[in-house]
Amino acid sequence: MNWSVLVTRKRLGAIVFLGLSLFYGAQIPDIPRLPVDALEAMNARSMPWVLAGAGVLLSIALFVFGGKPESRGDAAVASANPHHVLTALLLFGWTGLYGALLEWVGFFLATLMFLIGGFLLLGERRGRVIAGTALVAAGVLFLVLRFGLGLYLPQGSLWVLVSPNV
Amino acid sequence: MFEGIAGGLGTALAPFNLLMVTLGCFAGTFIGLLPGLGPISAVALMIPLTYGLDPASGMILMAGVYYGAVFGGSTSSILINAPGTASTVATSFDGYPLAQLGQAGRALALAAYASFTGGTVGAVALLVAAPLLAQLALSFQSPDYFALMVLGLTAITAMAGRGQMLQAALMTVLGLMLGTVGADATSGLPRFTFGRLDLIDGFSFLLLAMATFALAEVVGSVLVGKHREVQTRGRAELGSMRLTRSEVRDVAPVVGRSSVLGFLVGVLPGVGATLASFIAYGVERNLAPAARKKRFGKGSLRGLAAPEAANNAASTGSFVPLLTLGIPGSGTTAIMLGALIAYGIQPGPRLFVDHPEVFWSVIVSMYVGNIVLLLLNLPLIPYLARLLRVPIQLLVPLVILFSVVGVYLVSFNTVDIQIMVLIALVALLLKGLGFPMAPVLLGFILGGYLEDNLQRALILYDGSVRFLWERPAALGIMLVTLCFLLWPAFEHFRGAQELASRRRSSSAELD
Repeated sequence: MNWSVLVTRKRLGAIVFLGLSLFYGAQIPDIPRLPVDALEAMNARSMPWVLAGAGVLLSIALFVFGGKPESRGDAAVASANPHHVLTALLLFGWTGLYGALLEWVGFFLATLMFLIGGFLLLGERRGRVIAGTALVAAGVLFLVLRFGLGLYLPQGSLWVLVSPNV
Repeated sequence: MFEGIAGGLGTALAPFNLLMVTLGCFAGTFIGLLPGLGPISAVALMIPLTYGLDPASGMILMAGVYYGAVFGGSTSSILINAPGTASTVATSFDGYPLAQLGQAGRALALAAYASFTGGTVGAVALLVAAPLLAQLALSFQSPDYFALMVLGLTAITAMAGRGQMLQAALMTVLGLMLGTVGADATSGLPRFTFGRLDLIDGFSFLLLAMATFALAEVVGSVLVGKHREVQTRGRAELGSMRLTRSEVRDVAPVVGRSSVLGFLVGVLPGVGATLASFIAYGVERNLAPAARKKRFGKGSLRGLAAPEAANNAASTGSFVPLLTLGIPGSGTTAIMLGALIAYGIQPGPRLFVDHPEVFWSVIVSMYVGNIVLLLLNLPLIPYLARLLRVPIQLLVPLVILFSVVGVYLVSFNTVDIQIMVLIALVALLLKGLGFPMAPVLLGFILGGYLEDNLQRALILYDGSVRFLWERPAALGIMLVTLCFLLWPAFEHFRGAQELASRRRSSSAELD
């Protein structure tokens, strides 16, 4: 039997959603209850139960009816270039790290570092373009948010730690 | 009434107030362009400035900012697929594909025309029918709202591609599930927070929108190697801003219908521009002929005009409950309510009598604001569209930065950035598996309202669902919903029958 014929994108998606719905459903008993809940037609658990049930039923339906052959577009996604996949994953990681950088080195420097890193990751090698774009974008954003709109922006815990005044 | 309109016209057209509305539209457009800073933030940021102004000028400035921010949000939806606010999510469905086809100029111009028409229809309707519509809105109860939310959810039929109905339904369920994270609105009990305080408030709409649209979209473009491609002229060019006569004829009825629909939905307190844009998109997709229906989601002018007209008309409509009942119709008007109260003015039925200059000048300035917005933004389009000429390897980190900063500015919590990355990663995986993203947002936006109103309706009807057939408005809306759900099945059946008859006739000819 050729198992690869049975594995389609829709069926893979159905399995992902079935797992997700079961996980969601398994968390419902952890939702606290109030004494008056017994008297109410609907409580904090009602909607989640309906959604978990709907998720399971729809996933099963998708698995059953999702057996049609894959389209050409699907193949393109499946055969993504490993180098591009790595770049995308690094970009995700770099974005996540930006959150930490914001707190450590402050808004302006973190933004500058994020942009320079992002440009380099995506293959930009012209030093002037990298530095100019990053400086202008980070500077304008900082000035607009901090002084134009008067918003609070993190100054960076690292500077607070090394500052002689603290 | 005519005396009031004349007075309002005099106040709104005073040079200082004209300057206020122009400044408001200009500032609003630029603030709205930044993901994360939508109409609510834009209007909130103006409050300190309005304290030094008289109430009419202050309200006129805020109304201008409101319009400008809605239009600015549409611009970022069209150009970089980053809907900064919920009400412009539907705009990105066809606006962004149009920009990718090298028709950003036409998309932006159409958005401006549709917004202008929607806003104008809304302003005229507000002028004439405000008291009447306020009564209608007041008669709506939780069962009717629940039915309206169910109708809103049927818009997934419009978002699902061919053979994607089950995936779209699953994504809607996922959106509804994500909407249940955080404290339950009725009981306050925490749900799915895993003991983390960061999750008590649930996910913000913006986080989800930015993760599933902006972040997943741009990283997706890296995944398929777009950053390595030589930039094509089509993408980099603004394209013509002109619409042909046949295109105008095609979209004119869509804009008209969506404007009226948007205004009516906007009048309902708490519903606002988001639902209006989704419903208008769904309605127009269902009404479109089969050939045009296929264009929806791939750069349809109808698909762009409908939500744009509807969200602007709804923005105007949301002023009806604010000015006549003192109930804010949307988050933005809630802030304006606060500003009015800070001025010592109590919005409500007495506003007509006690402060007619504020009431009428705000209404008249809405129309003036629409004209200013059109005059201001059409010449700005070529400059706004220059965003598209930025090379992809520079644009991608910039778009990511704007989306991340937008999300961060809502909560000032860096954990949100990590959650955003996680959600974007899952979204990219699901996208790769052929799941549409828009239904997640629809489910998330409407889920909370749906649950709250169902809960209230059940309390009102002693735990019974008989409100679905006992309340005429709820029954009517549910019947419309049923039609929307059955229509694709009917069309599929009709298509299959036509195909079979064609096969029969061709085989008969062969014989």
